[in-house]
Formats: sequence, structure tokens, C-alpha cells
Amino acid sequence: MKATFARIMENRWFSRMLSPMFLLLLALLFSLLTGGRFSNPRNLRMVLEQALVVATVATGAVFIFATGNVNISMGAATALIATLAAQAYLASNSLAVMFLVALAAGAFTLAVTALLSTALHVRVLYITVVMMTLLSSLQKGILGSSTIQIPYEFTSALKNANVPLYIFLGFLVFCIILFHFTGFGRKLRYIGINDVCAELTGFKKSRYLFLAFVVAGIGVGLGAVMTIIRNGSITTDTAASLNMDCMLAIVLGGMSAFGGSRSYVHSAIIGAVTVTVLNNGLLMIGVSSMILQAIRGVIFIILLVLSQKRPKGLPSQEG
Amino acid sequence: MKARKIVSLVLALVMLLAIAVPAGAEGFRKVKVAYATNATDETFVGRKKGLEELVGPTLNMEFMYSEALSDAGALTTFIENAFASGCEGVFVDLANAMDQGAAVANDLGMWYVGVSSADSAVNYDLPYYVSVVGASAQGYGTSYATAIESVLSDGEEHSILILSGAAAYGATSFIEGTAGSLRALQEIYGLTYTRDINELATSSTSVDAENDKGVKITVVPGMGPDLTNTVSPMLQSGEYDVVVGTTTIYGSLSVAVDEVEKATGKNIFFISRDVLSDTIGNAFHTNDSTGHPVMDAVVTQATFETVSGMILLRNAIDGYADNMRADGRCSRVPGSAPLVVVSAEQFDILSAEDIPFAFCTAEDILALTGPDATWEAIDAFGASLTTEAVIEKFNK
Repeated sequence: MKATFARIMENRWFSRMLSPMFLLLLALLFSLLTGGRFSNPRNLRMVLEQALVVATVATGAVFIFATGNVNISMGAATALIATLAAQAYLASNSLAVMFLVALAAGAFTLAVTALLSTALHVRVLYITVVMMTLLSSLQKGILGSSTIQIPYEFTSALKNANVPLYIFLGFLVFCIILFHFTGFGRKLRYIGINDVCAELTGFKKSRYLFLAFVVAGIGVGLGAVMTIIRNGSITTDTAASLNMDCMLAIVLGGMSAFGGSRSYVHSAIIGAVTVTVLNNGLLMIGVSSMILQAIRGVIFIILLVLSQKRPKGLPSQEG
Repeated sequence: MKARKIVSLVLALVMLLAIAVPAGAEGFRKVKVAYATNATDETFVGRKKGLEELVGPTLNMEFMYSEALSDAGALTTFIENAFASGCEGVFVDLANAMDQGAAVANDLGMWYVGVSSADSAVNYDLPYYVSVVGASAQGYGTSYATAIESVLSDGEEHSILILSGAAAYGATSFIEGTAGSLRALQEIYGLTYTRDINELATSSTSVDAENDKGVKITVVPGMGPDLTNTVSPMLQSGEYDVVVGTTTIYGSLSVAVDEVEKATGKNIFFISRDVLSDTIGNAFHTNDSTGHPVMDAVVTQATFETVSGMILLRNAIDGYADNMRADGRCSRVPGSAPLVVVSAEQFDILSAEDIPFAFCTAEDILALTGPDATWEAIDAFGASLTTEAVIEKFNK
């Protein structure tokens, strides 16, 4: 019995389908409990819109997670880049300039993070801890006590034209192709399985880590644009919980916290939507927001236990 | 004959139903309203209790509360989820995203009231933006001036430490609290500052408010737990005998003040912003090591804004939005200035068990609802809730 259970847990398709199936069941359950109000198209659209910023930033972050590394400066980077991009928009009154500034600043910031890690031979996690503080201080220095307000007509028009959705879909397709259908994605996963082995095979870790951070930086830049559109204002509290939300989304979406072969780009959107569906659905059935956190925590722990067991026999640094 | 019997039966049934299933408190239809908060602290718990026990039953309203929200993104998500849960209105206590929240609510067709000590800056003409409530910055200034005048008008010269909270970050209630304190000291000592009062109040570093009478006045920015580390050494110098907090400082500084009083044998006057809790009651009733009350004056956190906000929402939901808005834009309802409590006796009267939340009775609330109610009437009622008026009304 125990062996059968272990076999099921280690099955590649089980780990791949667990999170999407859970999400589907959750959606069905909430639809039943709310008499169909949850599955109302308007509500489903709201749920999707709520998940888009986290899904976009987390989709880029999958490239870093796949290498077995963790970047905890994504929230601070998004907040800083949103600040820069919003200022660029207000100065130029041009959407294109806002996009360009966000993409360039996003890719540059995360590229610097990767370079610092590889050049100084310091683990990615430690560098990102420093970067998180540094980027946050920079944003506070730029903003001070002020709030950047973006005209409502501008953000509303972009929202109504579904710009955030198109940005996300474009980035998702780009990432799926790059991660699942090119040698680049395979090499990142290989580094995640065993970086020493990958280096010995001829894959230069520093080079691929740099590229992974650049892709994640593009995600951060796009996430910053979407944050501007959704929030309509930028303060020092903007994107305060984004980092944790992204990490949670990736893991809840079925991707292994260890990276490697069980890394999937779709994990980000599945995880982000799962978190949003839980919040929305539980509130709709009348759960108090104070109890909601506890229920959410219990469900997250169950999902983590089910999906995060490292497969036996997988080659790793520990052997 | 048979038809008459059926009609009688139907009429009897309708009457029975009318008795058995009332439309709600005083005939109000049951509505659900969302409450977005920036903190789940003691103030919020008190407001929640007031809503559940007084406003909800009186106006037949059900409330849905948020977690502690920090930015416009989290507020947007909460408003959208509240709409999905059937809320028809939303009350937002998150000043840095107040006007953005109004736009989100407007898109969803939800009536909206924000809390701020300043008026709306943008989006004020959106049709679902009902009002901005909350004691005005000037109200805070006046209340602090009253507190300082009542504590320091003893003819003695004092050295004063004013903690300006988030004034350096542009928070208007803190700026006015600090400026009001400085103006009161100007009045008491007849002094003239060498720098502009507003400049002193918004300083982002500790600054001495130099003046022609040589009275020692220092303005210190900052709030939260870090305040203890900044202020304790200043108190330990023994230079100051008055501490004025434009934020809640009792929890973070009472121990430090007590230690300095014991060490120097000198009384330190303590003026703070806070709620009328048991802790503050004990501070008024307990004497420190020098034989003086631990707490000398409290500028209370405003509570009427919660009641006025819900009355404005109830009226808007019921179809009287035009009366709740001002000339095609959201109204500004500052209501009452924060009350000032300067003695244990006043504290006991204002915090008695039978005192209704925000000093409003169910009758007061009902008088401000319906087709004849206006935002001006709600504002005027709030303005009538002065410390003296409330004490007179409830002191039995």
C-alpha cells in the first residue's frame, strides 16, 4: 500500500496534473457552494485579472527556480521598476516609453543581480537578500513620502482594452517556447538537477544563470507595467507582498521547490489562480477574512506536502 | 362567496407574512457593505464592535471586513471580491489608495466612502463616489491645542518634546497635530518661532523649535516600535518634562517615561493620541512615582467617521445618493474633531459601559437616514459632538 502510494507520488503525470486538478475541483466546489455565482463570467474574469501580475512575474521567475535557485528580490524589483516606469510615463506621456523603460530596467536590474552572484561567487539567495533591501531603499529614496498617481482615464482605457491579459499571454507563449521547446530550457533544468554535473558536461552555469535572470527581469518589467495599470498609483507599499505571492504560486502550481526536471512554466499561472480562487471563493461563501488566512494556510500545507517530495533516484548533488 | 373567502385568506396570509418577516430594522432592506482597513489593531476592533452592535442592527446592514491592506493593488482585489460576495457599498480606511479605490468601486457600480483627514484629490466626480469622511486635519490641530492648553496652563515653564509621527511623510492629521501643538505653545508662552511652524512640523529629522523666549521645544519625527530607541535617550537626558505624541505613544514610551521619572524624581506630563481603552483608563487612574497621573491628556481616535460613512452608504444604496453628494461630486464630511480627555473623571464618563459607539444612539443614526437626510445634516451632527457636549449628554 505504502509502496503504491509512493509510486503514485513519484509519477511524473501525477505531479504535473495534481495542481491543475486541485484548481478545477476547487472552482467546481465554489460554484456549487455559491449557487453558480462563482462561475459567473464576470467573476471568473475578475479572478483572472487579480492573478495576472503574480502570474507574469512568477512565470519569469520559473527560469531562476528551475536552476535550483531562489530570487527573493522580485517584489522589491517590481516596485522600483513600476516607480521608474510610472515616472517615465508622466514625463513623456507615452505608453511606449513606459514599456521600454520597464523592460530595460527589469532586465538590467536582474542581470546585475546574476552578475553579482557569479562574479563574487556568492550564492544567489544571499545576493537577492541584499538586492531586496537595496532596491527597496532606492524606491523609498525616489518616492519619499509621495504617491505617484497615474491618470484614471489612462489606466482605465488600458484595463478595458485587456492590455494586461495580452501582455501576460504574449509572455507566457514566449516562456513556454523558450523553456519547454529549446535547448536553453533543458539546460536550465539540467543545472537544477545537478549543477556540478552540468558544468562538467560543458554548460557554463554562470552564463545560463545570467540568461535566466534576464528572462525573469523581462517578467518583472512586464509585471511592473501591469501593476501600474491595475493600481493606478505607486507608493512605497506597492507590491509589498508580491515576492511571497510569486514563490507561493510557483510551488502551489506544481513545480518542485528544488527546480530541475519537475519545472513547468504553467505552474506560475496555475498557482497564481489557485491563490486567487481560494481568496475569492472563500469570501463568497461567507468565510471571514480573519479565518480565511488560516484555511488558506492549511490548504497550502496539504498541497506542498503532496507535491514537494523530491523523487527518489533523481540524480542530485547529494548523489 | 368562495372568491371572497380566497381573497380574505390571501389578505390574512399577507398580513401574517408582514408580521413574521419584517423588511429589517425600521423597514430597511438588508444590505451588505464592505469595510477595507489598513490595520487590524485595537482601533479597528473597537470600530468593528460598534458596527456589529449598533450600526448593523439599526440600519439592517451586514459587514464584510478586509485583512490589513497596504496598497492600491490589495484594495482593488478586496473591492472586487466584496462585489462578488454581494456587497453594494464599500467603506475604505486606506488613505494612500482612497481615490484609486473609488475608481474601482465606480467601475463595479458600488457606492463608495473613503476615510481621510483631507478631501479627495482626484476622481471626486465619479458618480458612485459618495463622500470622504474623517476628522479634518484642522480638527486634529484644534484638539491638540486644547490638550496642551489644559495641561500646561499652570504658569510654569516647561521643556516639551513633540513626536510628529508621520508628519514628515505628508500625513495631514499628524502635520496638523504637531502644528496645533506648536501654535498652542506659542499662545501659552507668547513666543515667536524663528522658523515657519509648518516647516518645523514636517521636518524629517529631529529639530529644535527655536524661539525668542528660549523655551525648549523639540520636534521628533517617526512612529512605531523604533520610536522607543530614538526618544528614550532624549528623555534620559532629563531635559524634557512634557511628551506630546501625535501618534499612539503610550504603549511604546510609558516604560521609558516611568524609568526617567523614577531616576530624576521629576514628573513628565504625558499627552498621547489613543482609543479610550482599559489601558488608557488605568493610566488616567494610576499615579506615577512622583504622585501625578501617568496619563495627562488623550486626543481620541475619531470614531464618528465610521458611523457617518455607513449612514452615507445606507442612504446612497436606498436611492438618496444625490443628497449625500455635493454638487455633482463626492461630499466632504469631517464631522467631529477628535475628543480631548484631560482627567480620569472625563475618561470614566466617556468610556462608561452604556455609552454608545461614537457617542451616537440608534435614534441619532435613524434621524440621519431617509429621503430628507443630507450630508450637511450628518456633518453638522458630527460637529456637535464636542467633548463638552458629549459629557453633558451622557453624564448621568
